[in-house]
Amino acid sequence: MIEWLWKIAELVVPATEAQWIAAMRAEAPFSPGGPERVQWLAGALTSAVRLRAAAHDADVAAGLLIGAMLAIDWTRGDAAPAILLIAASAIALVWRKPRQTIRATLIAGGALPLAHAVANFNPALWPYYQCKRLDGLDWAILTALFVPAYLAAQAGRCWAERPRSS
Amino acid sequence: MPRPSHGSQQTLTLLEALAAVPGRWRHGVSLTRETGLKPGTLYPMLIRLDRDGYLESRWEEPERPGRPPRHAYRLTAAGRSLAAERLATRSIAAEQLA
Repeated sequence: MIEWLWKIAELVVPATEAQWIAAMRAEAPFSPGGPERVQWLAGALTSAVRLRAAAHDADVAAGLLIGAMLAIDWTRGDAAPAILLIAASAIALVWRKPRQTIRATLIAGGALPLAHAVANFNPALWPYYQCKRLDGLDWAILTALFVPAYLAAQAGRCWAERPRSS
Repeated sequence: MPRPSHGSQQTLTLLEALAAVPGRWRHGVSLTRETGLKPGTLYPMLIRLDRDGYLESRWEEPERPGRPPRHAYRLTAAGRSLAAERLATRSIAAEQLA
């Protein structure tokens, strides 16, 4: 059971921070035993979850932003509040976590076109503004928007995670 | 007013322990004993100090066969400066309160 819990901590922690969970695991046998060893295991589990959450907090913020934009866009159809949300969130994301913002901002920026595509896929469905089924031109525009954005996000991720000397 | 980074009471306790013998490599168990911090509190602070360049770490070969290698820590030059500055600030604040 304890072995499994250590394995879970090692699975949860991001690969870049794995040494810290390994360090805690290596250190646990040097504590006197009993409750203290449980504290090392509990500490490793909570640290792994915290590190995982910290690695994705920009994505979580982007996800919340997308939810807010969809709610406004699908229920009111107004562009201005959604654009304001994008701008405010982009500023917040840049201010908080510069290395994660490329991906998160692109996700947030792509949410509205994607929402329109999904909404217009079937004009009989609920969203406020939909008027026609997507045609070939719509799909071409969406692809032209999505592919460069996706490639830029991947390039940004690779750049942020590149190995560094020293 | 925002609190300075690495300025919490617990971090000061850790910095004090690490700065007591600056060049010595320290292990997690001895740090938890000396500071009274639990591992789940200690390690996130070590991670932040390491990330900000105030701490260096290394894996040590086991002293006896069959034992796992251990992760050891000590302050960098920047970490020693930070500890000196933060601990001096704490002393001044304590004197002003007394």
